[in-house]
Amino acid sequence: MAVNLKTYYKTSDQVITRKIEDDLIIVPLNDGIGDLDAEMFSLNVTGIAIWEKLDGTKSLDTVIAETAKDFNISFDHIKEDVVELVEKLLKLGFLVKL
Amino acid sequence: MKTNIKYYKAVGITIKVISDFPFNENTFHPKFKLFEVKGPGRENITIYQHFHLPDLSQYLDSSKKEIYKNAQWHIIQSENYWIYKYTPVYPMDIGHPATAIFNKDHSIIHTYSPGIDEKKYKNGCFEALTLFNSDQILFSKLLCNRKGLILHSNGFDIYGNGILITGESGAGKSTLSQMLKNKGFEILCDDRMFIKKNKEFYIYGSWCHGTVPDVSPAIAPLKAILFLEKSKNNSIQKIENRSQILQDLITSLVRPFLSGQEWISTLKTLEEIINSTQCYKTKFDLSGEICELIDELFHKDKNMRSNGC
Repeated sequence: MAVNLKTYYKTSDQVITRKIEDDLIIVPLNDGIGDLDAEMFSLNVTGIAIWEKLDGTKSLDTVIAETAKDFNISFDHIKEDVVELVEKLLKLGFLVKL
Repeated sequence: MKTNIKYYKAVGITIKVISDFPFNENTFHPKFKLFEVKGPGRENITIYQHFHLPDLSQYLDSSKKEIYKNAQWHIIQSENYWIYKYTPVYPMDIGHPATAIFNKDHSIIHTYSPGIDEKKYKNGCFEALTLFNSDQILFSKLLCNRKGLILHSNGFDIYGNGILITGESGAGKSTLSQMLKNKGFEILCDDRMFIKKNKEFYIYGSWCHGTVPDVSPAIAPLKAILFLEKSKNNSIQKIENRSQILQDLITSLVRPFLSGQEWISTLKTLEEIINSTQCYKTKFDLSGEICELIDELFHKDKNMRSNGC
């Protein structure tokens, strides 16, 4: 799924999340019920920082810029990883494109 | 006098079974003898077994929605009921075509199996009280509301310590279990272990086993989880990385049909288990030497506890 840096993305309502230790567990729901056929997913510290910024109020390039600033690394250095994660989350239905 | 009421107990919950047909010795699989009790307990649920078609109209209101559908299962939820329809599909599938109506908290269940007559019922040797292939679907729901869950694992009582053995498919759960059984340790259940908090976490044997009907009504306080790895040597190494433990346990979690809120409860329980249980990476070969290491580890623990350490 092609990701556009100027697009706004938002975490789906069809998931529940819980932070355990340093991970965020994401459970997909199907009409409010845990979907047995879908994969559960977990995010590490960097993934959580990105996930929390994907609230639909900023474009993806802003999310990348803010994450780069958080971790004190360059935009170009983190861009590929963020795009890859967003592609994966979109494919799993955990993000929606606005 | 023919009786058509029986009581069984697992995970501290007593299940009253009321059947439209009388029971005999062969109605349920012999494993159920281990779990039979005389009467109600502190926590009780009731399963009514019927052998005619259900009138679903009284359970389905305008809020009804299809939750899940595949070749075996069709699950519908309405405001006050859950409806599970089970159809054996593959030659190895056990159980009978059945529809079960569960009330909201799964404490009252009506099962309908129109394909079973009285003669067939008497010699049914049924594996599950719901008459499905397993009662896992019932227990997973009951446990999530009682600080419990089900893990794909084998459970043992080793010197009074509840030990879970888990790992990916092919990691050697069955092999190590056989080794431990040969040493005389009691297996509580094969492949499906019930865990529930009762001040501390306990592991409970049940009749919901995997392919091997190793069951026991025993319980033991959960002390350790062994994550298996087949190897050319034998070692037990404590896992300190809680994140790694989480990933491994998530993989072993039996995933039931739960609402978002129930999933949050289940994940909270999982977190508590991680925080209160020692976990070990366990490498073993076929020499049996690993049993000595396990024996030493948990026997020592027993001595420490009896010395008040």
